[in-house]
Amino acid sequence: MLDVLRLSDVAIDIMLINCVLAYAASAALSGGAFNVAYPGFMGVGAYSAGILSGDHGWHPIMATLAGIAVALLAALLLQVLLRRLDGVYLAVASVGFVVLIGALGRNLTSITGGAIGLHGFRAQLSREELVLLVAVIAFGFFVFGRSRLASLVAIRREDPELASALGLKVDRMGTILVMVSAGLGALGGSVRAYWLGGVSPGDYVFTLVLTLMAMVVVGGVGHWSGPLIGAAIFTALPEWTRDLGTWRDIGIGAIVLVIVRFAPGGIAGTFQALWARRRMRTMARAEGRGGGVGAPLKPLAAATQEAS
Amino acid sequence: MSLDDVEPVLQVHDAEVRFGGVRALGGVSLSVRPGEVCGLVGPNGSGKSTLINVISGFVAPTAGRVELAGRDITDLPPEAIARMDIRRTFQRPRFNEMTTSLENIVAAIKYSSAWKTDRPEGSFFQRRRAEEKAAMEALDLVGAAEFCAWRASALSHGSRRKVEFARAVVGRPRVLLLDEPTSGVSQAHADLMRDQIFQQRDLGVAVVLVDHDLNFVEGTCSRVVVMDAGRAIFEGAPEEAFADPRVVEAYVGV
Repeated sequence: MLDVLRLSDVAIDIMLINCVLAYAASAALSGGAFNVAYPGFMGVGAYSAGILSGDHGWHPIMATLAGIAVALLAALLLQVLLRRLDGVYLAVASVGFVVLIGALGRNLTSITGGAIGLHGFRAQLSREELVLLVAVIAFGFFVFGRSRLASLVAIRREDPELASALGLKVDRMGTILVMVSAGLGALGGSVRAYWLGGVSPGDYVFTLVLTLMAMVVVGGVGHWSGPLIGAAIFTALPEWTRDLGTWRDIGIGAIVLVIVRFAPGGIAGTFQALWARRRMRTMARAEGRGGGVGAPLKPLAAATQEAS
Repeated sequence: MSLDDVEPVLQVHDAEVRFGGVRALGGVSLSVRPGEVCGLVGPNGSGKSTLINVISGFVAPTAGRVELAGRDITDLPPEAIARMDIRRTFQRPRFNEMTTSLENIVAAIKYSSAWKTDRPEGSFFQRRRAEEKAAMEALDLVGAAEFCAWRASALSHGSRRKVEFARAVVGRPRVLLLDEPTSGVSQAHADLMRDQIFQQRDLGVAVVLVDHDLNFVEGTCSRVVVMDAGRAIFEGAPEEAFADPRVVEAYVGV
């Protein structure tokens, strides 16, 4: 079924793993705070897999859960430390956490294998298992996206003061989002380490902050399908444009620029807006209002009648 | 029973705010009863919006106290105050620009305490529909139902004012803080806004209204507090206020 994508099996696996990582980034960024510590949490997950499974023979699931627990603790600690920061300052401070995890990996040689890292703990992950994992996470985001709380998180992203005026505990929501990001990040990092069969300090570094951020922004921040779209594009495009050589990165950079400039809602956000507009136009025409866009959306109008 | 016998729901005692060396608010007191519209007027920079910010928790007063029905809410954060059904509007209407008017209003119901007692019983989905219905009714009330599916960023300034008002009243607030609800809108719109404010007043909401349009304030409020340079220089009936020499001096500067 996936043959039309003209991607190798390896690329499709990587795409699925990138989806998990992109969801971790998306959770952190959806609340509007620039806490970009997610590669650090991924590193925590990956090293937990390597240390507990590789050196101590833990079952991969137990090691993954332990990694998630450590990442959640680290996230909580980080949140206490960075609570008062915002904007650029938060971004820089959270990048510090990413650097810290990398430095620990490189220097705690006896535990982490130093610059070489840990290898040889590959666990077999079938395509179906990866698809299921991504589907469960995507479904979780889909359900949350339809909740009232998600509207308030979206408001927090655009205007935190307004969100608090509507009763949202802005700080607590920020902590929750970072925790979700940490949990998913550790999960994704651990899955990636088992799939690769190894982890090294160069895996979870600053460039991953940018790559994942680009995925989320191009896909659509705050939309459940954004990370899926972003991860698919950013895994497939480099494969498809392999022949372009050096021009490849320039081309991909240009695509990111164009999307951010002309479709700030990302691909998912833009399609959603187009879809809503189309529906409104259809409704308006049905009511004989010409091209006006004032007609209510159908599901809601129906809902309102049913409720009354 | 006249209004004077009713206990005030909102009380501010000697609120003082200093930003560094600047005194934005110098010991202002205010008490508003349920079913009363209290106007706050004064020249630019006189501290009206700061007082609104103090009540809604956005600015912590350096001294003084704010009470809701006798309970001290001075140091509570804005979200806690919003959850006690003190709802506010902003000088410039603020929305999630990417979503529709209706979604913006529905989001305000989530943390309304009154809604938790008002809402009908039913399944999760029935409750959700009831929330949408309440939001739709609020929009209808301000005459903006036709904009329900419009993205907030596409609304005109006047419509934004209406939608913002609908968002502030949707969960049946106890106290309504309106920051210049008629700035930049037509006379017809201002009249509609006055009707809306009266409707809320008659429902027993305590309304604090900041506005520059003195005619609007005179026709809407039963009592005004005139502020100048962070102090209340007059409190009483609106028609007396604008005859008071201190008020004239503050406004005209002679």
